[in-house]
Amino acid sequence: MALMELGVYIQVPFCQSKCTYCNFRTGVFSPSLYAPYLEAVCNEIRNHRTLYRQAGVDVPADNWVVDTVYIGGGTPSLLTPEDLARLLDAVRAQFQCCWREVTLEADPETVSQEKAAAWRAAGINRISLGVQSFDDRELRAAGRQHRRADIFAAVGWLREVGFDNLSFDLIAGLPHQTAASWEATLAELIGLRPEHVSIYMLEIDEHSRLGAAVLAGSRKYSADAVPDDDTIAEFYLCACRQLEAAGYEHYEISNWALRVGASREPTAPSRFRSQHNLKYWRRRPYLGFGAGAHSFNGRQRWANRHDPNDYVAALAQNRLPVEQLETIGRQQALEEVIFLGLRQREGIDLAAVEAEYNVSFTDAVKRLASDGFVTVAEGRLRLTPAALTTANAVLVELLDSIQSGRCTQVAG
Amino acid sequence: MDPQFIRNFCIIAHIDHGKSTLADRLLELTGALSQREMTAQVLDSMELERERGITIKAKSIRLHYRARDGHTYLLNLIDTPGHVDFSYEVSRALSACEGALLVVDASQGVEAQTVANAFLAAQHQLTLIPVINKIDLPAAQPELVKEQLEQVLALPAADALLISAKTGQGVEEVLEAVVRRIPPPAGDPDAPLRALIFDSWFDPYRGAVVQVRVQQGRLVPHLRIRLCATQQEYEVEELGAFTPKPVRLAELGPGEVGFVIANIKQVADARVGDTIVEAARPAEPLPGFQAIKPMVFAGLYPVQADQYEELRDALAKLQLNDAAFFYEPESSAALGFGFRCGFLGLLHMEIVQERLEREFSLDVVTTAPSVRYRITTTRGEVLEVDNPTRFPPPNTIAKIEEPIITAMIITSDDSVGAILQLCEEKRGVQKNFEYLSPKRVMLTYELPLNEIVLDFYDRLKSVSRGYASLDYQLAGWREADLVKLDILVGGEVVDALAMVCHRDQAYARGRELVGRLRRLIPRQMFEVPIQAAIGSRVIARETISALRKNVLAKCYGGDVTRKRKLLEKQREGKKRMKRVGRVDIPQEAFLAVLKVGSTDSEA
Repeated sequence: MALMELGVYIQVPFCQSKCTYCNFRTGVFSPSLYAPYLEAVCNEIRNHRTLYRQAGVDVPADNWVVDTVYIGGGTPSLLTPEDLARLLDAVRAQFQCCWREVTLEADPETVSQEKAAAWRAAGINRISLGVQSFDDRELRAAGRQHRRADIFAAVGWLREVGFDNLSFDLIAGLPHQTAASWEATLAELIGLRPEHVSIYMLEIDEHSRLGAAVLAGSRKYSADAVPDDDTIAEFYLCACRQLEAAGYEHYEISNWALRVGASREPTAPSRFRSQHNLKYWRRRPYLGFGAGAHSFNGRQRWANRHDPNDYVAALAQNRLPVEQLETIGRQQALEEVIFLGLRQREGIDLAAVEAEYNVSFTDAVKRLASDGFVTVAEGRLRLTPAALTTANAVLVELLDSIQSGRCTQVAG
Repeated sequence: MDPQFIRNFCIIAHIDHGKSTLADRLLELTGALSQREMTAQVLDSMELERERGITIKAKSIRLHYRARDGHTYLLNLIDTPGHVDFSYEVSRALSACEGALLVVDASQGVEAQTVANAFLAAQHQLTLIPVINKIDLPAAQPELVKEQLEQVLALPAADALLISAKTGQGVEEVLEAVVRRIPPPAGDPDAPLRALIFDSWFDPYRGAVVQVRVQQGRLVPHLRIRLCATQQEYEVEELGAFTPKPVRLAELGPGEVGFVIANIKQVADARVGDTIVEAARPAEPLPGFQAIKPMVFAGLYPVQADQYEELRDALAKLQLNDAAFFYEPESSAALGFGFRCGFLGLLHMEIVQERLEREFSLDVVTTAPSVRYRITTTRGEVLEVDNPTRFPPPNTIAKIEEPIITAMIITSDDSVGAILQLCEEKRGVQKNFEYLSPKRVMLTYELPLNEIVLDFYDRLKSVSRGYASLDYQLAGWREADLVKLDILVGGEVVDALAMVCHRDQAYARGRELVGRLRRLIPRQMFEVPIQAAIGSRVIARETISALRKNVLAKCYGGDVTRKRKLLEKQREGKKRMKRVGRVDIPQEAFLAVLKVGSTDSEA
């Protein structure tokens, strides 16, 4: 039986403070919750087969091998290295493992030389650093705990103990950001040569305090200093140009990986692409453990309850608090293939998808191609650079062409 | 029933002057309803009527009143619609009466509809009893109102009754006055039957229910009757009256008012104003019947194309109950398949729209209302066109005539200036300017109906801070230099956005409309030009710049569901829009035409 690569995600929903732009269900919880929470997560990992069975979730087959682990948050770097090691040990104890990539999300101010060394010793080989900006005014306004200097310190220690795979997160569109400050941030980032970069455009919605303030037209959280959409799109495009020029491969809408050695060749994929995150876009299986963690086993998607207290309480009774459990039908799978696949710059194999799902996108693709939003080259359908900032509109267009039957069903 | 003890009357008033409250009070006083059964404003029973405080369909109620002279009288209170859109129905209801209570708000005084209704009542030779209502209000000025009644309507001040329908003060006197002042009906019970239909509505179990006033002869069950307008014959199945509960009756004699059920399938077969005669010895029909003609037209389209059938069924159901409502299928390049609908006026249109939404849960796009133009072509043909998209090419038009109304506006003197300006802007021609009192002015204007259907009423209310009142009636046709203004979105003519306006206004309206559309149409993936054009000449242009940012960046911890939901939300939003060419246009944009010509525009 062939081996099947599996990703494991572990959610640590704790933060020291909540950033103003954060629209995720994470937050500030009492450290007294850390221990019971860790116990609950270890319990979930240990007993996942029984728990899944009870919850109606397909139990992973024996041939699954965990090759990527991602500890995200929240701010998992708030946990002690011993606790992190415990989590990884729990995974090792329950799964066949062949670890290629083990990522820890860390905020710059939580990094120290000792912690860095301990992380490394625990088996973590990649750090995703929540940099967001190199501008102290922007960091302060966004409610971040770190400052520019903390980033340099953190990177120094991480490099010193031997981390050779760092990823930086940036946000385009923070309050007070200007073209000049953004270019400065990009220049500093490039100067530090992280192996991987993620850039997110600020999302304005009612789920974050900043978003709500912007929508309400208030000046709270410097909402009045948020750049407008056109400017944010401009920042993003500026980053695309600069990172490209600095030798980064733009492999996914928000993600870049450094080209080194043999992968300096423009056509070859960089070896620093995030192996774990690729699983999301490629619809490969991953199991999420912890409150609010999402999972996909190839057939079903589900998530755990997001409130850590509820989660702990359920696990204490050996029950998995699953919500949003759904079986992905053909139509939905096809939609996912499109909207996840097209986020990758390599696009999707049009003929293979059309054959697998017995559909044809010829008309929609022709229309979008004539508008310059997609291209088809060597059988792969891709978004053009012009479409990257408005990917949703293009995706909606393609998805609608399935539903409305505008794409002709291929006979047979 | 001896006609000597019958009184048929109605209540006429300007909107909100307390007609319904007085009706409720009369019902309560005569014991037609116990206090317990009283819900506020019994006569306004439709949900919409109650919400808007407007009586849409007339009903009549039979009351028994023991007067101070010791006799018990049968009072038929005939309710009348309270809005100018339904003035024909008002006039028919008046024909069924011998007298009318003219209710005037003691703090508001005589308003446009007070005057219009009083004139109408006078034309029908009704005995008018002026009733000054709401005298309990601190702002009540009954003496001033009396003066106005004398001066404007030549009604003796001494005849006016002072009441408060709310507290009940003086209401008993109203009943006494009805008995003493309004003459009893006349009519020979043995003459051939003539009964006036003054209302009809649809009952899902019984078909059309017809309200009649017998002028002469007798209506009895099983009588074969004929409706003069359609020449259709029916057999009377049931007779009765509302008390307000329906009560079955064995006969309706001269002067009596009641309902007839005769297996009539739809209200269109029993038109208001028609006469019922006996099939065996048909009398001459009563004068004054007109088939009501719609004055305002608009396209109604389902937002989602698959709701077309549902919309058609809903319109058919509405028409069963509303003979004035007209519809026929039409199609629009922009909006797909829908219906061209005719209405009595804007309120009527809004009511239909709201009923579609509320009672049938349908989402509809309504195109800008239009009137019916009379176009003479260069070849001498005369066409009546109620849809701008059907206008013939400009070079084939010899002349265009548009419907004209006579509008009566009553206002306070401090807003006269603004109103004159509004009327001028709306191409009005002043016919009369009269001071009703040192502070009140009555203006008479001839105005094109198409200016009224746009936003005249809202603007009148706004420039007069709500004081001005309006009543109008159709006054014929007038030639005008009109042009069709086309709107192009993304280079394509959007037929549903076309409008007709005067040549002199075309430039300003074109600019304003494209400005509004620029704000209402969301940014698309590409640049979208919006143009206004007369024929092939573009007179205004704006550009919607291309959308720059629409991407969900994060897929945190593999949360694909969240991404999918966001995309689904965008897809839902798109579905509620209409696609023209490559451009998605939201419903509100189709209503933008309505707002053109308003001062509140920022364009």
